[in-house]
Amino acid sequence: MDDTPVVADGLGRRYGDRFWALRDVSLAVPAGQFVAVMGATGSGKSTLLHCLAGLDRPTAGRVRLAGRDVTRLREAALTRLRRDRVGFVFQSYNLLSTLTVSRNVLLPARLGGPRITPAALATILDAVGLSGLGDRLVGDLSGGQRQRVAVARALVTRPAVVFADEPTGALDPTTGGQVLRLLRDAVDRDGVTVVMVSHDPLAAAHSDRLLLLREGRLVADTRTPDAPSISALLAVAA
Amino acid sequence: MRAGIAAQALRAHRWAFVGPASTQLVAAMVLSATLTLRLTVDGSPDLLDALTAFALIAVYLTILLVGVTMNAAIAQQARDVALLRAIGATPGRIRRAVALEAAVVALPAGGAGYLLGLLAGWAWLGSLVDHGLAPAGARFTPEPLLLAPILGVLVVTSTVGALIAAVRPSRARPAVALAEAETRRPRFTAVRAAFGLLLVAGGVTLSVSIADLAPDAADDAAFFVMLALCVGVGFLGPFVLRSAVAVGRPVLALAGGTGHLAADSVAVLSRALSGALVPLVLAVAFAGVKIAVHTTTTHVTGRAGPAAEAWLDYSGTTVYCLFAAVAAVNTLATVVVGRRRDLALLGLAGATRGRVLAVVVCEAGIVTVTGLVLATGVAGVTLMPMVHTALGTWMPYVPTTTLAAGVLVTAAVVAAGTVLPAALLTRRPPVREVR
Repeated sequence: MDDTPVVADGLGRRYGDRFWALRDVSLAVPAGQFVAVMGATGSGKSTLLHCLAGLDRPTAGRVRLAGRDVTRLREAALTRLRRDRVGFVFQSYNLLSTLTVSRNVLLPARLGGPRITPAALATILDAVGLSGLGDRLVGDLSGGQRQRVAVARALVTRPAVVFADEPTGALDPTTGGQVLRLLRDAVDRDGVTVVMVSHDPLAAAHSDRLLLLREGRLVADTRTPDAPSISALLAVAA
Repeated sequence: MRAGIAAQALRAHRWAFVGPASTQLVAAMVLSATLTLRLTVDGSPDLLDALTAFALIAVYLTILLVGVTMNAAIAQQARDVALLRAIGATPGRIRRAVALEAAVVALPAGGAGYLLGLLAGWAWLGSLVDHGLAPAGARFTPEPLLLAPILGVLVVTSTVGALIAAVRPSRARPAVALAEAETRRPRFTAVRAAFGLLLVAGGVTLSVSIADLAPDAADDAAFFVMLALCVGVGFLGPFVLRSAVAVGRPVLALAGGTGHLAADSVAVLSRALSGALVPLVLAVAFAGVKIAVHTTTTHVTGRAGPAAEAWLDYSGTTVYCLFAAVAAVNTLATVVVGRRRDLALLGLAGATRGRVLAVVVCEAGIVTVTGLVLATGVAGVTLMPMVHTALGTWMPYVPTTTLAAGVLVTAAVVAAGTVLPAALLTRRPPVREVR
């Protein structure tokens, strides 16, 4: 069980007095799997991602992340676990806009995380197609380039899991496809585990496994079909 | 490293640090003026005691105000803080970075304040000599060695204030912080209104009940009357502002669409703006009471009061009011900076830059008038028992020129916190703000 990077058991998250955004969700994500979490707006998919990733604490249930029970960790220890073992790609506001590309990628290391050698930095920038742009300010980059910087930062620490929250939500289909292939390559080549929230069937089609949420409950857990079938599944769930 | 994050935050959010920096500048000014005079002038014991008191007030208010303004500064960086927390900055690291930011800002602000304080102290000594508080031959001698301890005091007080301010934001869960950066809707609760009414009613009751006390006891109690009224006004602030908008709308309508826009935005921002009403009302009411006590005495008895005592009183009032003005300007400016996208949207919707600024000027007018009316009420309720017990009259007296000066200074303070930042923020084309 210990080498399963993400395990949730009876997960629940309540906002305010009575609204349960997430209800009794249990799941396990084995190493090297690319999981897509889908559902309508307000179905609890972002809440699930936040709880699994240790960005939020669940009201009920347990989460094991990279072998640690995050529901029991104190804030500082939880932060170090995120820094050393987890990578993040959000929809936007991923980067500090006054820093260069390289400095954004090196941020986890500068926050005290694992050291990143110049060679490792060059390799990751090359892998995401940004070699030669290391000294550019991210404020001057296009949206697609910024998301690739975010992917590079998420992957550079060789994390056990990468959590991605609508990573292509602000991108056009072509640019979004490039970012998704970067995540797919990381899974296939390096055995990284990816948990991605998305509302886009084309994005979800890059995954191995599909989780479907409705009103905070897990209503489907299948091998990922092709994009049209995902759309049909979403329509049925709604 | 730590310094890396701090430097990054400093560069990305220059606006956020105007608050702590202006507090530190005023504090350094007061410290430089009072300590230089304390060391170099052979004044009366009263003066020396007063100088020490002013310096201590400056230290205390610096911790408080740096804390308050740093809190606003962190709020403006909420998104960056949330991102840093998500990818691996511990709460302690965020707190240290915030403290370091406050300390780094303190050095240039303190240096500038020290120099301004020398100027102010030199001018002040002239007036002290005129009022017989310092010997006629007293010379103002700058003491360069004071710069180091003043900077030291500023760095320490700023660090303490910043550390206190950073406790809560640094502990916020990143997911909550990421969401809060988007939506945050404060409410005007019944509890808040009840507290406000209770304090105002208590202040008025106390004022009535002390009207028959001996003058000294009435003076002491009057301080609590004013405090209760000011805090009460702070609680009721959002409600008072919305009422002011409702009452003033017919007048504002004369300015056409501009007036309506201003009325609408003050009503929406009433909660945030009321944070500026407390220091504003406190300062104006406090200054009003201090001045009116002396001018009413002169007016009723027909002879001038002890000039030296009055002048020390005015000096102390100036120190308090300086800090209150800094607090008011910063709170107002924080509101304006938080609205930069809204102002840009007005521009995109077809308003010229002049029209956008006219809206802000109208808003400043609403806040100024509301603040002045409240301050007059607070000062009136505080003063009446004081002048009654001491002079047997119910009617405080203040010369018209002094009143006019008070109105102008208040309007200038409000404008400095609203119109000035709005003018600076709308220099860029609006489309670049809403990217």
